[in-house]
Amino acid sequence: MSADPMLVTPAPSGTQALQGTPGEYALRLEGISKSFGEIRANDDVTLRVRRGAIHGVVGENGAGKTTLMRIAYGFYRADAGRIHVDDTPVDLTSPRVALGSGIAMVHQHSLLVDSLTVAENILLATDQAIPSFGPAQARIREIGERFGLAVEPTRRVGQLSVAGKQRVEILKALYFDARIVILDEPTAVLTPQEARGLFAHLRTFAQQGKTILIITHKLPEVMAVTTDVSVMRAGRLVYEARTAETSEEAIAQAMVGRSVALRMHRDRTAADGAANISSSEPVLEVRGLTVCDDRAVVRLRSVDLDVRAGEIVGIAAVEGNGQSELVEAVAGLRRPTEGTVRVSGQDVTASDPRRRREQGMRHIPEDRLQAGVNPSASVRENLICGRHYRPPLAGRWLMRSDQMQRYAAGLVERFAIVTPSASTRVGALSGGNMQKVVIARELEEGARLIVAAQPTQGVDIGATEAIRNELLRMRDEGAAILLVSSELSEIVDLADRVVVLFGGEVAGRLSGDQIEEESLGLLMMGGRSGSGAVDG
Amino acid sequence: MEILLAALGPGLRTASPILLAALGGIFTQRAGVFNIALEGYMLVGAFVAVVVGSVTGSVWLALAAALVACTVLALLMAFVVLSLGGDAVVVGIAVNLLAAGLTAFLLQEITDGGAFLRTTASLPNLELPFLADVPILGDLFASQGILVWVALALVPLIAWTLARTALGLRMRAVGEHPEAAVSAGVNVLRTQYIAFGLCGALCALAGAQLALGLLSLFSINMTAGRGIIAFAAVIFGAAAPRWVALAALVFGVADAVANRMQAVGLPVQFVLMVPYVLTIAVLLIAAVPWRRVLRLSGRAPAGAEA
Amino acid sequence: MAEASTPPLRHIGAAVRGPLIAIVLGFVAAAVLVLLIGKDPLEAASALWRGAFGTPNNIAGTLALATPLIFSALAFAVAFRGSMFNAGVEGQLIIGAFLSAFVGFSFDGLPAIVHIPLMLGAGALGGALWALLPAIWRVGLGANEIVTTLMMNFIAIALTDYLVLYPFRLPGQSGSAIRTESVSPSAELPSLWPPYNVTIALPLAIFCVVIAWYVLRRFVVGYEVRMVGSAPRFAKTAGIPPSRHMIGVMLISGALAGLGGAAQVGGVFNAFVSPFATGLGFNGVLVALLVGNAPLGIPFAAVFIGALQSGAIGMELTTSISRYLVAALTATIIIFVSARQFGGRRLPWATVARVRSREPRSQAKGPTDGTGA
Repeated sequence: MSADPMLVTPAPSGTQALQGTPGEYALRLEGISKSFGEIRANDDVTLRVRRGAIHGVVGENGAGKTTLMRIAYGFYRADAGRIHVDDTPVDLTSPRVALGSGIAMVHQHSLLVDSLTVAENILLATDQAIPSFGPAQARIREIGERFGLAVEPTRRVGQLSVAGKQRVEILKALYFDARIVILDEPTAVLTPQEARGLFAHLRTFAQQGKTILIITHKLPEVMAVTTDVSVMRAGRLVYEARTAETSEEAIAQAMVGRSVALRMHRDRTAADGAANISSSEPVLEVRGLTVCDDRAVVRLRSVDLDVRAGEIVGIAAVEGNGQSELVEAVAGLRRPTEGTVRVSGQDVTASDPRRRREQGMRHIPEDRLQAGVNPSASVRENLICGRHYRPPLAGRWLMRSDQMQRYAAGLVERFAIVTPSASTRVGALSGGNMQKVVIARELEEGARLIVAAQPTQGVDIGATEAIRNELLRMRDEGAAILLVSSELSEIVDLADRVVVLFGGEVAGRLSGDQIEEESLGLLMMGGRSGSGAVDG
Repeated sequence: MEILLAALGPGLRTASPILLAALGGIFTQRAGVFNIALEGYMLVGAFVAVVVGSVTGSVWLALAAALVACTVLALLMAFVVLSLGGDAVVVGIAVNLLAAGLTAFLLQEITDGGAFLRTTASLPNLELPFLADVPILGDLFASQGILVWVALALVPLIAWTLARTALGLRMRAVGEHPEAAVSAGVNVLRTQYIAFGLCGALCALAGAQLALGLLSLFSINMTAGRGIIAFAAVIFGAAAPRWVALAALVFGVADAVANRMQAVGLPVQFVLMVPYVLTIAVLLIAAVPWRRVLRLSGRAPAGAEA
Repeated sequence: MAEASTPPLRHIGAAVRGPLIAIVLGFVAAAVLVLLIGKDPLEAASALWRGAFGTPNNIAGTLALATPLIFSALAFAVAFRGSMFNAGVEGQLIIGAFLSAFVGFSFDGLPAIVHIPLMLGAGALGGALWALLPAIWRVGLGANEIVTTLMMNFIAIALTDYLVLYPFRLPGQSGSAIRTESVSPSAELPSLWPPYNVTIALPLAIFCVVIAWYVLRRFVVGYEVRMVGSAPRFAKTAGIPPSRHMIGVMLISGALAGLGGAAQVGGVFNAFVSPFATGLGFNGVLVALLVGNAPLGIPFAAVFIGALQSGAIGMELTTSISRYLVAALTATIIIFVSARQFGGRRLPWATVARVRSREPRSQAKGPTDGTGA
């Protein structure tokens, strides 16, 4: 079955404003503008949220949705515009004031203090000088039971799981009687099944009169749970509709503003890929790998894995199930407590990254700002790192600046990195271009093994396409690629084989036709796949 | 060792400035600031206390003046570090130097080139005659300065503040995870300023105790590193009041023991090293990943679950 | 960032502007203080100048004070570029000084051309060893090196005090300053400008500065140190092992500090005395901070601070304004400098908990200052 990638119908022109009468809006943001220096993050945005709605705010990175929501919950102050909560004008000068007006935010990466207990974290927002812990804890338990979000108030937040911390943030909102709850990419850290549980909670809240705002970029989610949707692009609100009256394609078109290949169809990649997989020695061979984190807690247990030249092996896992530790162990950033890692036949288990890079390994790290680039160094200095000590860029002791300039200029052009010059500090570039710097540096000709962790996270659609194409191209030229991504669709689209991690162990191995989101999601959650695990 | 026992009472007295300063340092440390300027605050406190004491003759005015001066100094440093973006360690070193230079300069101007300033003001003791004959407690508590009692009382008070008040919660949140604090509506800057202010006030008491507690004089650079020892106590105790207090007392007693040894003619330097060596030892011990070590050596069970 | 081509004048201008403004502000504050005590600031300033540069004796004094400052400033700056905050320069200087004094007085009859390098080498070795421990603790255990190096200072002082007061004491002394026996004449550093105390240590210091600058700029290892210093996790991911560089940088830093101590022993005291350093190490740190840890600026800042200290003595003699004014002045200048600076090169971990902006890059920074670690 080969089919063309789906093309999107042209976007409707102009904005379809949501119709409604005053009095039915829980929240009105009108004429909101906000600039950061020269960048206009929000340009005269008007967003009206119906009471009891689950309102999706959609857009690419940099579209301005996060800024708008931060203004809504008081973290930022708008340069211009008015805000009304239940038709009462409010001046949201701080999150606390917003909370007082009934607006609460549940963050993507939960903003809780690990060493404090659940109750202490919630009471941080209180106004009492000497909080009464007893009644507070009782209230927390009661709310938890009522809404099905039970958490023990005296537990230290640091001991909770990621989903548990999200529950605490929601509890906090309910504790302070928030009527409007804003969730920022809430399912980024959840499995499909956990996400469905969250959606059920959200529907309950909406039925009980709460108003929900969800920031998301996941179209299926928008279609599944929201009642209204607003699309932002380049700081403006460009499209609004009732979810029931629109479609994924229309929303996507509004997000991007041009026709876009919504999905790279699997068959194309699978067909091209299968021909290239060699049957010789695997480039990456992982055996019995056991890795602990900084607190000596076992995160990965006895994992076996192979990646051959000319194939992409995807690791599907929910955040926190060992994939980061797997990547670190393979890339040489963390010593495993047991097991071996072999690259191109060489045992590199105890070696540092340099040794592995000499064997042909390249690594696109998960943490772009801290590990992927050096924000205070120039584009050029970032691009040469890793081969800065080899000819032609350097002699035995000294570096050759003219060679460096030539090399860097070539990469900037080839990868279309948008930068004023090669001497610009990387920190001044946009997220997408920063990632292009990382890609340009790591996807070197002749790289044998590429360990790519979240390569398109936080990158806009245009650059995402380019990055994925580059990965495919490297694969076609014979590189072995280990791809870790929290975007299930990315794994499904790109991977030739998939290994699912759950609780630090291999929960399943799928290849070919078996690779699809529902089975993967189930395995990621610890369930059994219907077709059974196949060793790849 | 009779030296040790005889040193207990004076040890507590010697330790009290260090204890007070360390208690002040707890606030800034919890609020997430590496504040090594305790030395400077203490010196300014001592100076102001002696000057005001000698001008007015009243030890209470001297105390009040020292409180004001040090709190202002701490808040000024807070301004440079928090609002102007200065690095806390760098500014801390500069503040210590500024305090040393300024107090020495003013001292010399006041005394026309002299090296110290005396005053008649002195802090009273709290006399407890019924303890006088009790064996160890008598030495310790029968006749101790009031600021020593204040210091001891502050230990549980500060512990309670950190654990049970909103201010304490906010400080802990700000120091550990400022973004979380902001999202809870905590004013990070204000909390950190308050921490600086409290630190300054306590160091004022420390300086006053140093200058007026026993001898009633000020000499150039009289803190002589006690502020650094206080900071070491804060690190040693991980900014937890009871451990910091314990460390401050141990370090203070070491100081007193050293003085006795010197009087008897024994080499004193190794005792002087004790606070610094202990602090390093504690840092290193805390830094060892014990679980991993125990597991690798086969003693502990095979790791906890994720 | 340091590129291969020479920076245009504009770059130097921008780099100098911050310190200059701070210096001016500092002097203004000092002038106000002088006025408050009823004296004339202009007279004080001119006395300061004369004390620093008025006579050949004074100029020599300034240079002699500047020399050890160059060493300790460079020590701090080099460590800082490699992401280590070496607050232990003072202690490393002292240990290096003692070791060099030991080599100086333990051998007799060696030709100067052998003895002097030996003595200087011993100084460097002592300093490097004293810095090695905190370096290992930091790299191996993650123990905060600001605290450990700070503590090591006082341990060094106590240790050398003991050594001078007991085993190595020169008999027949009393009073507040105790010394070891004098070093052999063959270990004394020859003066560049007899009869003054400006020795070959000064050109040696400048030489070290130039080497440091050139290596950082053009050498592979210099590039690696800079990357490790500004982004250690990035460096490790891209194949530069940070641990090796962090330890190396601390060793060099300690060696430079120790070298400075040795220079003091061989050039000024000709023995080890207690108390020895009284702030040389910390003043060196201030010098480095004044120029933002840029090696080439260090000699200028060192001469400036040296001039202030030299001038202070003269000022006290002629105007009877206490010399401690200069200490307050120096501190004030540093406070002004640090208020403007430190937006550029931050330590990998912060000394103040600040809120980091979480805006995606394309939206730049938010109103809460995004200058976190």
